Amino acid sequence: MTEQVKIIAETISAAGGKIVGRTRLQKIFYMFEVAGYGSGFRFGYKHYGPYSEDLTSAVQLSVLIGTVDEKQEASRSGHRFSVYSSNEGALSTRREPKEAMLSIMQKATSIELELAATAVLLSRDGFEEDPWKETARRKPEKAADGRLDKAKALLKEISAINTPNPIPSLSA
Amino acid sequence: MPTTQRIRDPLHNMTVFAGDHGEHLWRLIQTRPFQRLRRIKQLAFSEMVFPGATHTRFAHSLGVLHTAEDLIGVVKQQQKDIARDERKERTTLYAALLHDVGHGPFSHAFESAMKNCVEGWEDHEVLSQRIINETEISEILCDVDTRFPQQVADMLHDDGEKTIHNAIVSSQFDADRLDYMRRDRLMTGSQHAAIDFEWLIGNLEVGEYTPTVDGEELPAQRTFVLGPKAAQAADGYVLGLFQLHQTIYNHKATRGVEKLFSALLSRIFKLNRDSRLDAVGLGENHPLIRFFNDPSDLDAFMDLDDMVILGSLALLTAASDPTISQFAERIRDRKLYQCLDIYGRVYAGLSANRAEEGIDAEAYRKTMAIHLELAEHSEPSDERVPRILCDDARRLPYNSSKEPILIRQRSGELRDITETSDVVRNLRVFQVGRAYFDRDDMEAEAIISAAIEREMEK
Repeated sequence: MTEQVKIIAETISAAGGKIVGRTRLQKIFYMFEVAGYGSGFRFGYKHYGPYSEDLTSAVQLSVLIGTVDEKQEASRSGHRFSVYSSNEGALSTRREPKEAMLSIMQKATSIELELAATAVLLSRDGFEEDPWKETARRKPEKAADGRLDKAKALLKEISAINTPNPIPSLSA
Repeated sequence: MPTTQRIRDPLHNMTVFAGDHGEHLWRLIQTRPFQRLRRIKQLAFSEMVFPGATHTRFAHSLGVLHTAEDLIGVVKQQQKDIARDERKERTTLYAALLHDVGHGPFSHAFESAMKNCVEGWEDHEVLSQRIINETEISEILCDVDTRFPQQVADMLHDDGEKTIHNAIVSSQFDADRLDYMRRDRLMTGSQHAAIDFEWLIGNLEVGEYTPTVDGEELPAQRTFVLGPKAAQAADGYVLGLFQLHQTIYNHKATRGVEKLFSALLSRIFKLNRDSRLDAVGLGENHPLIRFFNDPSDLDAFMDLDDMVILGSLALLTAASDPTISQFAERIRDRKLYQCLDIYGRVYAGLSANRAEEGIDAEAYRKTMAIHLELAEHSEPSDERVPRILCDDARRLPYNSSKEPILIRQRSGELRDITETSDVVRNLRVFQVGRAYFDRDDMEAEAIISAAIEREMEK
């Protein structure tokens, strides 16, 4: 757990000192697991796609011990969401591909990232043939308005990075 | 013409199963996965503290069905101008009835142990989906329409298109919560945590809210909101749930048994995995061992229930492994570990020296640090039982991050309950940090006290 707490702070720090939202945080760490930059977090499918209870616990611990700061902000409609910040130094080893992944994921919206991560998870869990179709079926509101296409483009961009475990592009 | 069936219930009086639809629901109740719920108690080990709390997930699931029918009535009343979606109504009722079929013995305590033992262990919601899709339940649903198994599983997992019917299965006012809050209060005998159910239902309205993901807005979605006359009832609803968590679900003795049970299961799993079944006290054909040998085997999973576990305790007390024999005996005879309230002691220590502002977070942080220090004493060995078991829990009085409780103002505007209620806005997070140890083990108590003192000196 101590090592995981350290990695969470380092990752937020490497992401420019801030990661907006629990969904984004979860999906970033899921994609790292897929890419071979695993921290031992166990992921399963939940309402918002890949989710790790271990990660949630480690983030809570990080906040408690002060390596990560969590603030609540409100959307225009008044819904609250978490903003995590940390300045605990850069990623400890030379990991340019990981930082490149992080940079791309930070530019995407949380919903696009959720759709891309969900498709990757489904492609490994019984939906090898067309995980995008299943993603759209499960999340029709999120996949609408061109967001699924943006998620596909996002995954294509991430998959072009040379990571220890290749990230599937899931292109049709 | 199908026979009309009736079931009496201490909470809802009577649920009637009539017509073709009632017959299908009745057939689902007769299946093995659903009948299994008769042998899984709703509140697991709570009956060791509240002797009346022996109600089952079977009774609760029937109650959720009954409440879902009430809520469908609210939707029909509120959406008179919209054509009824009978398919969605049926899906909702099937989902309400079947929502708990994936629970293991002693529910959350089992789930907690399995998550530590089996990599990739899925929670009960995923198991419910599998049972709906892979057992005789699927055949019965397919008799109505081949699309139903998938649609019911989707609704339980909040997948697919969202309509107001999804709110009946999963929302701040879903049928599950509206049943268990009242049933658990009734069966434990608790006199607090009451909610004004009739008033809440009478003032439920269908409104629209804008779901968000990390602040990013999605198209508006229909959900239940409360009318202006139910503002006080809404306060009571939030407070009632909070009190249930404080006094029943997180009761120190109940959590203490759960800790013993989780440690017992984990030890059995480990020894069996290491080909040391001879130290466990159970044969290889025992349902628990068959399940541990293949946790993905749904048939083996469905052979597990509270009765199987309780019926095994006599065998387990004869195990050669000390953790298994001693913890089985403790659960059988209710010889629990003593509880030391670490969080309470830390909080008292901090508040003695300064104002209480901000103490909650610091006390919890220190409690977690103490737990980490004590972790080495929770490991069993061939000669030694886990000496100190730590437990922690945090519960927000009201969590609006997924879906808010919205109160319609007389102006028509919808406002979050934290904006309208001083009571809800000012509730503090409920936190638990405890250590359990053998009451005769003075050294263990000294170890815990020393860890607290060291942390308090920092």
